Parts: sequence; C-alpha cells; structure tokens
Amino acid sequence: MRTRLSLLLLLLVAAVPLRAQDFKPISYEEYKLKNGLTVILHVDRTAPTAMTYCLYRVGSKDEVTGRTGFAHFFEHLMFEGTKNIKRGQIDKLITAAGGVLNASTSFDQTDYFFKVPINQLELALWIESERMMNLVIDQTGVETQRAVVKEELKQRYEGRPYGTLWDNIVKATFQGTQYEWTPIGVPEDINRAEIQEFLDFHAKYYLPNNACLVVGGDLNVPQTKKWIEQYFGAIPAGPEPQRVKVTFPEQKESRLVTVEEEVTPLPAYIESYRSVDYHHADAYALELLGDVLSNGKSSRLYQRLVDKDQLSIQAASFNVPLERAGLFAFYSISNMGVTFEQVEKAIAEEIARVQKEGISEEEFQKVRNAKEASFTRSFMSLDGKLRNLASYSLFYGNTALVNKEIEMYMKVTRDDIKRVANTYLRPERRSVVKYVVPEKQS
Amino acid sequence: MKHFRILTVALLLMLVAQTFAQVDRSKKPAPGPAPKSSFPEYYETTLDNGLKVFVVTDNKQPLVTFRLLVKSGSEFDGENSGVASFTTSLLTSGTKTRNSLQFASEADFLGLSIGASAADDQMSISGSGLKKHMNKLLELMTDAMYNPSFPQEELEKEQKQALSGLKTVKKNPDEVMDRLSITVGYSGHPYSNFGIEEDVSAITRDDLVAFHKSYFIPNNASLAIVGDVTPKDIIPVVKKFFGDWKRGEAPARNFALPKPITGRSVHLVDLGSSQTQTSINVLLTGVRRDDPDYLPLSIVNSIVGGGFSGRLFQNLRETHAFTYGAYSNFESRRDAGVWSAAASVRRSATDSAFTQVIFEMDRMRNELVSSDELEMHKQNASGRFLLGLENPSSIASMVQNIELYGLPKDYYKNYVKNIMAVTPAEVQRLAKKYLRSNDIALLAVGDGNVIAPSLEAFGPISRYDADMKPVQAVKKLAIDIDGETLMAKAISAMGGRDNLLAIKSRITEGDLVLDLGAMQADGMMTLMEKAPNKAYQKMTLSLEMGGQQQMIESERWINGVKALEDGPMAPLKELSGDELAEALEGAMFNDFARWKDLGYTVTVQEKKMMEDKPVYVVEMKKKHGSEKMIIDAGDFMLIGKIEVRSTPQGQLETLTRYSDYRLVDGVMLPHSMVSEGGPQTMKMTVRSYKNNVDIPDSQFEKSL
Repeated sequence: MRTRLSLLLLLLVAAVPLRAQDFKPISYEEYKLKNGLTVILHVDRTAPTAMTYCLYRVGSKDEVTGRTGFAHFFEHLMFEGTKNIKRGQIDKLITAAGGVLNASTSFDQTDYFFKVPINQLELALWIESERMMNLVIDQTGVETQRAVVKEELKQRYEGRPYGTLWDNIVKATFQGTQYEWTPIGVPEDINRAEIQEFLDFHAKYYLPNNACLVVGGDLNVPQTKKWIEQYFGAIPAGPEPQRVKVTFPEQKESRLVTVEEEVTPLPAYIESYRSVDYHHADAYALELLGDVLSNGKSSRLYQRLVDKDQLSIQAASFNVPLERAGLFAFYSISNMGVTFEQVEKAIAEEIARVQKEGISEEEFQKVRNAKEASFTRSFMSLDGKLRNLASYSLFYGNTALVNKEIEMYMKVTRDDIKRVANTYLRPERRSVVKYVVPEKQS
Repeated sequence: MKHFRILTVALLLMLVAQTFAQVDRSKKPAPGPAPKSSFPEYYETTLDNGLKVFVVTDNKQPLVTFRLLVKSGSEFDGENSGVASFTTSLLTSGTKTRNSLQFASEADFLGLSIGASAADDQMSISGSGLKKHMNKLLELMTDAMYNPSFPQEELEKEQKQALSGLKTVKKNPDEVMDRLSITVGYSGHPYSNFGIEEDVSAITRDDLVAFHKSYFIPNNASLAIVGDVTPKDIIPVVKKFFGDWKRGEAPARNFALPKPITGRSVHLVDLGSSQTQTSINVLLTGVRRDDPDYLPLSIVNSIVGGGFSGRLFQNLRETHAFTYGAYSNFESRRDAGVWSAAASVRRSATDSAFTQVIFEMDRMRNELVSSDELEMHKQNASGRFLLGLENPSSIASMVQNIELYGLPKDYYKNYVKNIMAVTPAEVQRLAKKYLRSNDIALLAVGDGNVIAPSLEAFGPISRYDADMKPVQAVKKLAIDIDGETLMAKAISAMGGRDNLLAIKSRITEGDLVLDLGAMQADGMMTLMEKAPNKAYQKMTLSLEMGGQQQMIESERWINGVKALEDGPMAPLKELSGDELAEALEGAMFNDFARWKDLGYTVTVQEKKMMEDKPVYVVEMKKKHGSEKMIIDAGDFMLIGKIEVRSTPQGQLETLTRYSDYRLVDGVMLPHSMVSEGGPQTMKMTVRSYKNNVDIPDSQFEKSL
C-alpha cells in the first residue's frame, strides 16, 4: 500500500510544477500623521461594514519585575471611560450601534478592535481616539478591573487541566529574560499595581508614534482620512519608548520541570527548544519543519504517536516566533498507562530521523502547497487582513510583506529544513515539561 | 503690499487647515444613513437527480468551498443514538479505494481541508481549497460521500473515544443541563434523544452503511459553492461530479410533535455536594424555525436576555450578583422549538434566581418596552446581521437554511427591514403569547439535597440521573432490623452457616475487563484461598501500549503470618504494619459466616431505596478496618460492598456489585463482580469455583 501511495504522490508532484503563486495581492494605502501615528486603509466592499484595528507596540515583555500582568491589566482599563465618554459606556455605545468590540494582550503587543456597520465608523474612530488621548484612570475603575482580572485568572487556573502549561513552558525556555512570564501575570503583582503607575504606562506607551491604526471595509476613503485627521491628528506625540533588551543566559543542558496538579486527567509531555525570533532568516524554515511534523493527519507526529504507536490522544509540534525570542515545541497528551519514557523515545526518534535523513521531496511539496493554501485563506476575512497589515507595518517595518511573505517560504529548501532541525533541536536548547497524573487518582 | 498679501494667504491657509482639524470631541458622532439592507445575489438551480445547487461568487481569492447539506440528522438515529454522528465522522476514514491514511495524505498534499459533521436535523460535509486543486478536492469529497467503507477498526477507535467522552459529560453540569433541556423540552420527539454508553457500544458497521444509504441521496440534499467561480463555469463541473449521484426515496418526516410544556414543574439532576453553583434553566415551548413569529421573537428575546444589555444580565448579575452571566435564547428546529433562560448561579440563590427570571417574564408581558430600549436591540440585531454578511461561508449556510427550513425566498433580503418594523406593541403582544410564566419547566442541575427543599414551592419535582433516567428521591426508610438478625438472615440466604463452613478452601478463576475510559484491558484472575487466612492471588492484564501487546502481572502471597506483593508499579515487597494487618484480615476465609467468632461487630446504618428496591447498608467493623455491605432487604442477598480509601483527592469510594448468584456445593456464589472507583471500572466474570481443593501450603509462600 505504501509504495502505491508514494508513486501516486510522485505523479502528483510532477503534475504540480513550481510556479508563481496565484493568490490575489491586496491593495492598501499607508501614511503617517504628523504625530507619528501610522495609518493604513484597506477597502473591502464585501459587506456594508467597517473594522478599526489599533495596535500598540507594548506587551508583557515590556513589564518590569514585580508587575507581571500589568500590560493586560491596563488593556482592561481602556474599556472604562474617557474625558468625553462616561464610565461603562464604551460597551453600550458599540452594542447600540450594532457592533462588536474586543482587545487582547500578548508578549509583544496589545490590540483593540471595533467592527461596526459602515454608518457607525465615525463613532468607532471617536472612541478609539478618545482612549488614546483622553483615557480616564481613577481608583474606582482600577479596583473594578482588578476584581475582574482576578476572576479571569481564577477561571484560567482553577480546575482547568493544563491551565498553567504556557506559564511552565516559557518559564523554562526563556529563563532569565523578559519573556519568562506570560501576559496574564500573577495575582500578587496585580494587587500591587497603583494608580500612578497606570498613568505613567499610558503616557509612555499609548502614544500615536507607538501605534498603528488600520481601518478597513466599505470605506469612503477621503471621508475616512478626514475623520482620522480630526480625531487622531491632535493627539501629541511622545518620546520613542525605550525597548527592552533580551539576552539569553547560557544554557548548558536540558531543563526539566515536573508539574503535579489535581486536575490533570492524562499525562502531558512537552519538549520545548529555544529557537529564533521572527526577524531571523531561519524562522521560515522552522515553520515548514513544524508543518512536516504536525500539519494534518498524514504528518509525521500524528502518524507515529497517535495512529501507529497509539501513545497519544493528541500529538503535535508548534513553532512560536516572537519579536525577540522564539521556541519550537513538541507536545503529547498520552493515553492512560503510557509512560513519559515511551513518548520521549518516540519523539527523539522522529527528531533524529529528520536530522539525519531530512524530508522527502513529496513532504517538501506537501508543506509548500499547504502553506500556499493557508496563506491565501488568511486573506479571506477582513479581520485577518487588518491584523497582518498592522503587524507587518509596526513590527517588521515592511508592510509589503502582507503580499510577499509567501515568497520567503518558497525560498526555503529541503536542506534548510534539515539544517534548522540540526541547529535548533539540540539538548542544550531543550526544556522538558511533564504534567503527571496525581497518584491514586485511578 | 505684496508681502502682506502673501502673508494673508498663508494665514488663510492655516485657518482652513485648522477648521479642517476641528471637531467637537465632547459629543458622540451621529451615525450616517443606515446602509441598505442587502443580501448578496446568488445563483440557484436543481440537477436532474434532485440536488439543489447554490452558487455564491466571491472572487477575493482563488479559493473555493463546497458544502453539501443532507437534510436529515440524528433525529433519524432510531434505536441507537449516535448513528448519524458516527456515519459522518467516519466518511473521511476510508473509502473503497483509499484507506484513512491515503485519504489524509492526498488531501494534506494539496492543502485541502475536508470535514463532516452531524446535527439534530442535518448532516454536512465540507471541502475547501485553492481553486486550481478543485478537481482533486471534488474527487476526494465525492469519494467520501459515495464510497465510504466504514472500516471496522476505525469504528472501534471512534467508539473508544466516544466512551471516554461520555465519562466527562456526566460530571459536567452544563452538559447534563443540555441533556435535561432536550429531555424536557422535546419530550416525545427524537430531538430529545442523546447517546449513552449502551448506544455507542451497540452501533455496528451495518448501521452506518444503512444510514448512509438511506439519507445520503441527492434529492435529500443541497450543495452550496462559495468562491472564485461563476455559475457558468462551475455548473458543468458540478454535473460531472454530482450528476450521476443516484436519486433515492426521500425519507418521510413524520415524527410526533413534542409534548408542549404546560403548568409549572421542576426537573432536577443531583450532581452531589461538590456543586457550589446550580445550573438553572427556565424552559417553555417555543416556535418552529419557519414560524413567522420567529424573527420578531428574536427582538423580544434580545430585550429579555440577549447579551450584556439584556434584562436578565442586568437583573441577575448587575443588581443581584447571583451569577457571572444570564442569557436567554429561542432555539428553533425544523419540527419544534423551545425558549430557554439559563444561568449558573450560587447554590444558595437557586430559588431567588428562578423568581427573578419569572419576574422578568412577567414584566415583558405587563409593561410596554420603551422605544429607546427597543431601538437599541433593533440596531444591534441589524448591525450583527450586516457583520455576518462579511463571511461568504455564512452566506452559503443562510442560503441553505432557507431551503432546509422552508423559509420565504426573500427572508434574508428583508431581514433588516422586518427587524426595524418591530414596535413596542408588537413586542408586548408576542410576550403575552409566548412568555407565559404559568407554563414553564424549571430545570436545575446541582447539589440536589441542598436546593430541592427551596424548589418545592414552584411545582412538583421530577428527579433524573445524569442519563436522564427518572429516579426516586433517596427516601430513607425506617430501620426495622438489628445487625445480628440481619446477618443471620443473610448467612442463611447464602446457603446457611453449616454449608458455608463446610468449605475450607477454594480456587476461583475468572476473566477480567478493566475499563480506564481511554483504554480497555482484558485479563484473567486466579484466587486461591484456604482457611483460616491463607490466600494467593494472581492478576494478568494485557494492554496495548506503543503498538505492542504488553502483559502486566501482579501477585500476592499471604501465608497467614506474612504478606508479599509483586506488581508493575513496585518491585516485590513484604508488607508490614497496617498494610500487613489489613492484608491478613482480608484473607480471612469465610469471615462472613464467622463474623461473631472473629469478634467483629455489625451495625445496620440505614435502610433506603436503591434502584427501585429496598436495601440495608450495614457496617462491619473488623479489628483493623471496616467495610460497608449492601444487603437486599427482600431476599437478604449480599449485593454490594463499599470500600473507602483516602487519596490525595479526598475519600475515594469503590463500590463492588455482586450478581449472577449460583448455587455451588450448597452455597450461593456470585459469578459477576463489578467494581467502580473513580474513573475506572473492573468487571470480573467467574469461570469456575472449585471448593475444597487440596492446595499445598507452599502456594502461599514467597520470600524476598
């Protein structure tokens, strides 16, 4: 059966020659306001709606020791009120306009969005500019959000299997750097945060020259530009925030963390390797290596751990490139009765195999094809397009990547994939996290 | 002069620039004119075999999605719930010419995604990918549709997963509430069915083959195509891949209507004292999906319980802080629908929360909604509708819904217009018609013992277990017997003291099935016992691990003085202290008949109903430990034992049930024993009992 399949795939390879990608590039207009705010407009007339997406270059890695979770806490305060919008009204204004809203905080960034019918775009721009310019931070707001954030924390940790997974992975992998905690932070730090610190934080990072505003949808472009100038143009710029330094202390050998939590239903095994940030040339090869290992049911890890050996209920790898750090990890949630040694051995064999033999021509074609499909799919929603535009502009300084990043993937060779497996999947870059099932549970 | 003029122009220009930038930030900007409520054009045709085809052109990117909707779902499951769901999930797990891996490899190779799923009144299979791979996509998708082989081993994998899933369902209050809601809301209609262990295990390959054959027919389906295609070039392709699909006999839908909810009744599932919150739900009979009231009712619902600005959220969370959130919803299916208002509330606030829900229902009927409040909900509904149009796939499913539910052709075209036409009077009329608080079912899942008394005032209480089988309230009966008399009766039921004591040794051999949820293991057990307290036990389990069959053995030797153990978890060791004392006591042969001689005491703790029959719960205190026995109050047979162990998770009870008693050498011996403790179940079926066999003492000896 195997031989027949390979033959079939080889035929397919022949039938799908290398050629230029035929997705449709998107158009956009980018400019800067006098105060340094980067603005990108993208017209998409699919529906009579609009979306505003405001990205700030500040995240949890910019926090200071003893204040983990601060950036995320601050994100909640951005929904409280402004000089011209009474407290608690932002939600209601958008709901009554038939819109939706949300925000998120990660290691490197904080973002805010509104999606509204097109006739309410001015409202969305007004609110977004108000909280950049006139945010009101008072004791009531801070205390309310402190309680809410703590509930969020509880929900995340209490009784949630593997709820602390990310915390343990980054703590081990990024030890000794600003990346060793996750954006949610710890409750003690949240308790300590004082009102003046929030005011300082807003003054330092929530500046037009530290943000990118992307507006997309069924736009009247001149009118949109006019509103943006009116609402955002008067916001004063500030000094360029100093960026944190990330220096990894030398790691000599593999690290091991064992986690015992009552709620762990099945053993979980994670093997995480420190890799590279997303500006690094190897980032693309690592991404494709991840696809070879775990994209789809025909991928190596699924076939080996889930289907053939039946060691795991789920098994995959993931590649996480960040602004100044990166990791490449393997994980498995094991079946009952399977030992960590069995999982570890199977993963080690798969790593050794790709390091020694590299990948086959058909696997190479497969991940290229899959990448092309997923790249094209990322253009289907307005949401996806605006996020990409903002991130390429603010973090890569190269907005054109929105249409060109696929070329970077297509430049990766089979040898590159083998090479990065050898360069990064090494014991002195490894951290292992084991979630054990408490004894006597079964 | 010249200079002056230039300066003036410059000043003027600056002024213009200034005016341009001026805006009154203190005022909320007024909205522009509302966008026209439009719904994208789409193409519709029917193939000769009856397949309805819809084409929604979206040429933003060279992608295409095909979604086949079969207009029958789990409502046709019949005897065993889950047939529809297993049928769809196995479509892509093997066809006549491709095994599961081959299918996945071919799809993955071109970055195609193909998946299938089942719901109560529909099944669907979707495939999407780059347009240039469309032919391969259709080849794979139609292969899964026309030629699924339903491999036995894939079915078994799926069953194993489903069984693990069911274990967690029964402990999750939200999932138990889902079961309770359909049980009460759709009583008498197949919508009220859901799968339990017996259903999952009973499903056979033949069921799937038959289900597929009956319902996957073109005249019972529709196909939506969304993407970079035009009707002109896609229809010939559709004809090529779907034109030869053979028409069948469209299944008749003649289900009995669900029993309407009338009067007030309470329905309760007790999940025990660990539940600090109660999941509550107020349920009433709603409307079918094609009812003309459905659309305006969505506004009525939005006012009562739609989102943060709904009245339930404001009342139960903001005013009373009973809960983190409270929402309501009209759930409407092809044959029937319900309205439900649900929240997870503090245990002590269960009855107050119900009272507030009823209060809000009454307020909707008795008071006219203000035009401001109504306006906000109408704006929100129409805005969300427009946001939905951004996604072509959701347009495709709307188009397929028109056909599936038999809605007017212009339903979505007129959606916003009809929403905006709803008036305060119309809201009140509909509230009076539907939100009748005297015809409601009040559902609660939580700590039954604590909340039940406070719910009696709302109406008669019906109780269910997590599988929705009706249960009697655990009624304690008066204890009408003392320990000694009960033991005498039990010993006589077992064959009498003389017959029991006539047996001095025994070899028991049996087959084991260990069920750990995620995996099962088969094995064997041999137990050799000899009076007064010698025992040898050997258990062998065969597990599949790492693709290989592995044997796990454990043994125990008790020679009356010493006890040794050898097992997979720890190397051979000799027991000491409490462990030794308990092992020796456990090896006491015939202790049931000799309890008095051994100096044990017996207390009847309670008499209660268990699974429809009265039983006694009896505690037998031994020298070192104790055990609880369950004795049938009718025939006095020992039907269960409860062992309590302390674990890091608290007390863990293991209940062993004895059944299939047969007479062997004058005594009654159970031939089936099932132990349940935590997530695992161990079943032992006795193959043979050999009494009074001469067992050499060396059998019980082992040294380190």
